[in-house]
Amino acid sequence: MLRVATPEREHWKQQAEEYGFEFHTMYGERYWDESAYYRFSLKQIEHDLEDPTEEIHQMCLDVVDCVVNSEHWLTRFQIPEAQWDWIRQSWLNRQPSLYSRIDLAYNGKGPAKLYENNADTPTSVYETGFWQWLWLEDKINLGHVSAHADQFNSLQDQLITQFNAIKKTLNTNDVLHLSCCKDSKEDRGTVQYLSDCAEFADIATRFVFVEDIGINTNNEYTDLDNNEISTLFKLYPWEFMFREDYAQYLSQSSTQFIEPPWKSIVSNKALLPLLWQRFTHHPNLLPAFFEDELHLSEASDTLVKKPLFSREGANVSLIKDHKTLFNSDGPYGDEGFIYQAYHPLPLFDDNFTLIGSWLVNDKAAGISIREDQSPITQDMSRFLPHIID
Amino acid sequence: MKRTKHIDLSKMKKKSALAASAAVVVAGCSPHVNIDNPSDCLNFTNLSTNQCARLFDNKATVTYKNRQDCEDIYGDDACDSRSGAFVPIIGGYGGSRYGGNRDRYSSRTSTINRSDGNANKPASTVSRGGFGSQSSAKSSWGSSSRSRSWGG
Repeated sequence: MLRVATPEREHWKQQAEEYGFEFHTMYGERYWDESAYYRFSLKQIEHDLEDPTEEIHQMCLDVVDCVVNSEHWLTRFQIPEAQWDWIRQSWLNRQPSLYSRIDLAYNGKGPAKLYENNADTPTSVYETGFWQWLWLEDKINLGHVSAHADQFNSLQDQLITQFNAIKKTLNTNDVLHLSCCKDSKEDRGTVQYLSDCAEFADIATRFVFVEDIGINTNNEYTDLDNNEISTLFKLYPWEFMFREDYAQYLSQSSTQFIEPPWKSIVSNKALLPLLWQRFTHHPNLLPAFFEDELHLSEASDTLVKKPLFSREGANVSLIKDHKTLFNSDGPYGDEGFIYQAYHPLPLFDDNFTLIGSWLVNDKAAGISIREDQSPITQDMSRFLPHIID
Repeated sequence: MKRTKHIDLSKMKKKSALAASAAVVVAGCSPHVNIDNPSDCLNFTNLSTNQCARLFDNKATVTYKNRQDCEDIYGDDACDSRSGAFVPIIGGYGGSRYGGNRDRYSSRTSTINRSDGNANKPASTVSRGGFGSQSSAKSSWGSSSRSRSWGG
C-alpha cells in the first residue's frame, strides 16, 4: 500500500460537468483529489480487505439476530419500543438490503480494524462506483498507470445486480421512490446515482424530498403528486425517522424501505461493544465498551468516545486517564455513548488515511479512500482513487 | 478483474438525460423557446423553482381532476381543460403569459405526460412534512452556510 503522486487529468473538471458530478469541490475546498492515488497489491486487497469485510458483515448479522430477539438489547440500542416488532419482522422476513460501507483502519500490513459500520445511509457511492472507475479508464488510456492496473471496485455492477434482485420483490407496475433531504447537493447527487443504477435494472424511479413526503387517508406515504409510495429508498437515518411525527405510520404502512428497518441495528454504534462481547479478540475488531463496562478496558488505554448515533465524525472525543485530549463539535450524544480502544489511522505523507469498504447485500464490492489532516475523518475529508498493481 | 467490466457512459451523462425529458414550447410575445431543462424553465417561464424542478424530475404530465387543484399549484388562470381533465399551460414572459396566443400552444408540447395519467386520485394526501424535523434541528449547529449531508 503506497501513496503515489500523479498528474491530474487536464479535462476532469469539464468531464465532471458533463456527468453531473457537482460536489467535487465543496465550500472552496477540494473533495475529489486526483493529485495522488493509492496502490495496493492483489494480496492486500483480497486477503486483508475483501475477505475480512464479508466476515465482519456476517458478525454484524449475528448481532442483529441477537438484538431483534431481546428487549434488553433493543433498549440498550435506544430503539423506540413502538418499532420493536416491526424491525424484528423486517429481519425475520429477510427484507432485502442494498448496500453498506464499513470503515477500516489499515496501513498495508496486519489486520484491518473496524472503526464503524455505515449500514443505513452510506455516501460517496457515486465517487466510488463510477467516478474513480472512470478515472482509472482515463489513466490507463493516458499511459499514467500500467495497462494491467485494476481496481477493487465492482460496486456499480453489483448495485445493478442487487436492484435486479429487488425488482423481483416489487409488483409489476411499482415505481421505486428515492428520497433525501433538501439543501444537500451531495445527497441529491448520491440519490441520483442510485436512481441511475435502478434504471439500469429497468426499475421505474421517481424522486421525492424527505420533507415533502405526505400521508394519505389510507395512512400510506405519498409523493408530491399523491402517488402512494410502495418502495422507498431513503438517504435519511432510521434513528431520525423513528423519532419524527410520521413514525406512527411505519409499522402499519405497506411501504418497503431500502435500507430495511433491521439495518438500524447495524448502523447503531452500540453494535461495536456487542460485537466485542460476542467475538472478543477477533483480529479485525477493536475492544469496545458500553459506559457501564469501562472497568473492562485496560487502565492505560486511550479511548475514543462516540455517540450511539452520529454522522461524519461529529461529537467524537479522545480520552485518556479521564481527560479529553481532543474532541469534535456536533449535535449528537443525547442517546448516550460507547467507547472504543484508540487505534490511530495510518499516516501517508502527513495524511490520515481511512478505507471505506463497500458491501452490496452481503458481498464485498470495492473500496474508497478518504484523507484528512485530522485523526478524526469528517465530512470534508478528501476522496482519493486507488489501483491494484 | 476486480472492477466493473463495462459502464455505458452515454447513460451516465446528465445532459443527455435532460434532453430526453419532455420538451416544453413556450409561446408568448417572442419566438418560441424550446425549454428542455430546469434553468431555461426558470428563465423563460413564470414557474417557480420547485415547479420547474418537478417538471423535469418527473418527466411527466400532470393532469388534475378540477381546475382549482391545478391552479393551486400553477397559479390563477394557468390551467386549461382538456379531455375532461385540467392541465397546466406553460406560459411565456411576464404579464403577457397568454396574450391571445392560446391557440399556439400545441397539445403535444404544452403539457407534460405522466405515465400513469391518473386524474382520479385513489386517496388524498392529508398532511405533509412528518419526516425531516430531526434534519432541520440537527443542521442548525455549526456554520449555517454549510448544507448537511445525512449520509455517513
